[in-house]
Amino acid sequence: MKKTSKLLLLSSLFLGLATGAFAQKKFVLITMDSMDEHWLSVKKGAETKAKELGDVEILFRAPAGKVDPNEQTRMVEDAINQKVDAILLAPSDKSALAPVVERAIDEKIPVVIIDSPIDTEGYVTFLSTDNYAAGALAADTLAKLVDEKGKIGIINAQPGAGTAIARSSGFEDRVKEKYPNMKVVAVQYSNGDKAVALNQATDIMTANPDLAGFYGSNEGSTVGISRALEEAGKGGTVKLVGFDFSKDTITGLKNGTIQASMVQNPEMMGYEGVGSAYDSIQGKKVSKHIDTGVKVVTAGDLK
Amino acid sequence: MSSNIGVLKDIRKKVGEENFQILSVLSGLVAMMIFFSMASPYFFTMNNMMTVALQTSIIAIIAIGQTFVLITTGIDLSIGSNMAIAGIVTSLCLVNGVPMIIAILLGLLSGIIAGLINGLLIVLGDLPPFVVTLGTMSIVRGLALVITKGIPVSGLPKAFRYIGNGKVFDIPFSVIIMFLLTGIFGFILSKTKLGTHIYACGSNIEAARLSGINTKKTLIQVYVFSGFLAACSGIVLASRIASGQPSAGIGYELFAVASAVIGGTSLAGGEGIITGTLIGALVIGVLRNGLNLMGVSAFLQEILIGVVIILAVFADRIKRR
Repeated sequence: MKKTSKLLLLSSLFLGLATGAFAQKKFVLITMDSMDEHWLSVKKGAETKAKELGDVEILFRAPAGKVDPNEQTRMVEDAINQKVDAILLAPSDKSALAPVVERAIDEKIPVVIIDSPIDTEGYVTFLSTDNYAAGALAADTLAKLVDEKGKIGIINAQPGAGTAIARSSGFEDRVKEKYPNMKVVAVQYSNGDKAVALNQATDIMTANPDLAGFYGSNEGSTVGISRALEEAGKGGTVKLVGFDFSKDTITGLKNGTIQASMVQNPEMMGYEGVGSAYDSIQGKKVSKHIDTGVKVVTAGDLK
Repeated sequence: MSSNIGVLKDIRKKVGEENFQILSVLSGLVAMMIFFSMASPYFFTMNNMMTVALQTSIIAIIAIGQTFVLITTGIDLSIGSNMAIAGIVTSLCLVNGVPMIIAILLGLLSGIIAGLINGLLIVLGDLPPFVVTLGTMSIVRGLALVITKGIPVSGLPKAFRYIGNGKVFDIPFSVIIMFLLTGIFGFILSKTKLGTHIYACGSNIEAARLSGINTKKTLIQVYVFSGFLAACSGIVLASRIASGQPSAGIGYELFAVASAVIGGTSLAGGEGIITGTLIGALVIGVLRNGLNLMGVSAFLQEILIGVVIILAVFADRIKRR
C-alpha cells in the first residue's frame, strides 16, 4: 500500500515535472517585415506578456525583404504543420492571407489578427489602431497647421494593404467632408522605401510650388518626406503630419521638418495579442476587436 | 599573334558603330524632355533638371557596373543588397566614431569583397552568374539584417550628409560623383586594354581565351567593378536618407538592367557603352519625374515604364535586322 502511494507520488511528481517542462505553449508571431521599428515593438510587447505568463514561448517570423503576402502565407502554413498553440498574424494583404487563416482555424488553432484587418471571420480577436479614425485625426491635425486651406500631397506605403487604405481614405474623406478649401493634389506610393518617398515628395513640391502640406502614412514615407523638405529648405514652411515613431521621425520632429506624427501603440498590440490568445485557450471570452489607440505626438511632447 | 590583333580590331570597329546607338537613345531622351516641357511648366527649370540628375545618380552608378557585367554575358543581381551592406558598414563605423574617410573606405571595401566573391565563385566554380549573384543577393541582404538586427542605423554626423545633399556651384555632389564615375569607367571600357578584353570575353569567350586574354582575371575584375560601384551608390544613398537602411536598394538591380538595356547594352553580351547606360538611366529618371509633375497616377507610371523598356529593346532589334 505504502509502496503504491509512493510510486503514485513519484510518478505524479515526474508527470508534473514533465508537463512543466513540455507544456510550454508555442505562439507564432508573424509580422509584415522584420525591419520596421513598429514590428519590433509588437515583438517586444508579445515577449513581455509571454514572460509574465511564464509558460508561453514566442516564435517570431517575418519576411526578410519587404512586405510579401506569399511569404507570410508560407509562414502560416508552417505554423499549422508545426501544430503551434496560437498564431498572431499581421496580414500584409487582407484577402491574400484569408484562406490560410481559415485553414488554421479549421485545424483548431486560435488566430489573433494584429495591426491590419483580414477578410475572414473566426479569428479570436483583432487588435489595431483604428486606422481610418487615425487618418481622419491626421487630417484634422494638418488642417489646423495649414489654416484649413491649400494643396496637400499624400505619400502612402503600399497599395493594397488594409492599413494603408484605411489611413489614406480616413484622411481624404475627412478633408472632403470638413475642409472644402483643402485639396489633395497628389497621391503616391513609396512602399515604405525612404529614398523613393524622398524623390516623390521632391517631385510633388516641384509640380506644386504653393503646396501647403504633406501627409505621410507610415514611417518610411514620413521620413522620406521630411528629408525632401530638409533638402528643399522648406522644413516648417510646408507642414508635414506623419505616422509612426522612430529615431528618424524623432530627428524630423526635432529639426522642424515634421510637425506632428500619429503614434500607435504597437507594444500594446503584441502584449494584448498574446494575452487574448492565452485567454481564448483557457476558454475565457475575448472581445472581437481591441482598439489599441493612437496619439498625436509633436516636438513639444519629446521634452 | 596576328589573329589576336585581328580580333581586337574587329571589336574596335563594333564599338565605333555604337555611337549610332547612343545618338538614337539620346534623341529619344530629348523628345521625351520636349514633351514634358510642354506638358508641365515646372519640368524644364534649372531646379528640376538638377533634381532629375540627383534622383538618377543612384541608379546610374549601379547601372555602370551592371553594364560591365552584361557585356560579358553575365548579370549581377546582388547589387541592391551590396548597396545596403555598404551603407550599413559606413553608417555603423560613423556612429561608432570612426573617421569619415576610413568609414567610407570600409564601406567601399565591403562592396569590393562582395564583388570579388561573386567573381571567384563564377570563374573558379564555373557557375552561372545568374545563380551565383542570386545567392549572394540573399546572403548579403541577410547579413545586412543580421548586423543591424533589422533596425536602421541613424544618427549619422552632419558632415557625412554632404555626399548626398551637398552642392558644388549649385550642382549636387552626388551628380558630380555620377559623372566622375561615368568618365572613369567609360574610359576603362573604351580606351584601355582591359576594356577591349571585356568586350572580347562577351563576344566569344573561347576566342578571347585562345587569343591570349586572361579571361578568368577579366571576369573577376568585372564583378569587382560592379561591387565597388554598388558600394559607391549605397554610400550616396545612405547619406541622402541620413541613415543606413537594411532594406535599401531592394529591386534596384532591375532598374540597373533596364538602364543598361535602354542605353543599348545587349543581353547577349559583347555590346554596350557607359554613356549609353547613363542616358538610359536618365530616360527612366526623366520619365518618372515628368509623369509625377503631370500628376499621372502612380499605378499608370509602372505600366508606362515597362512599355518604354520593351520599346527600347524592340527598336534595337529592328535596327539590327
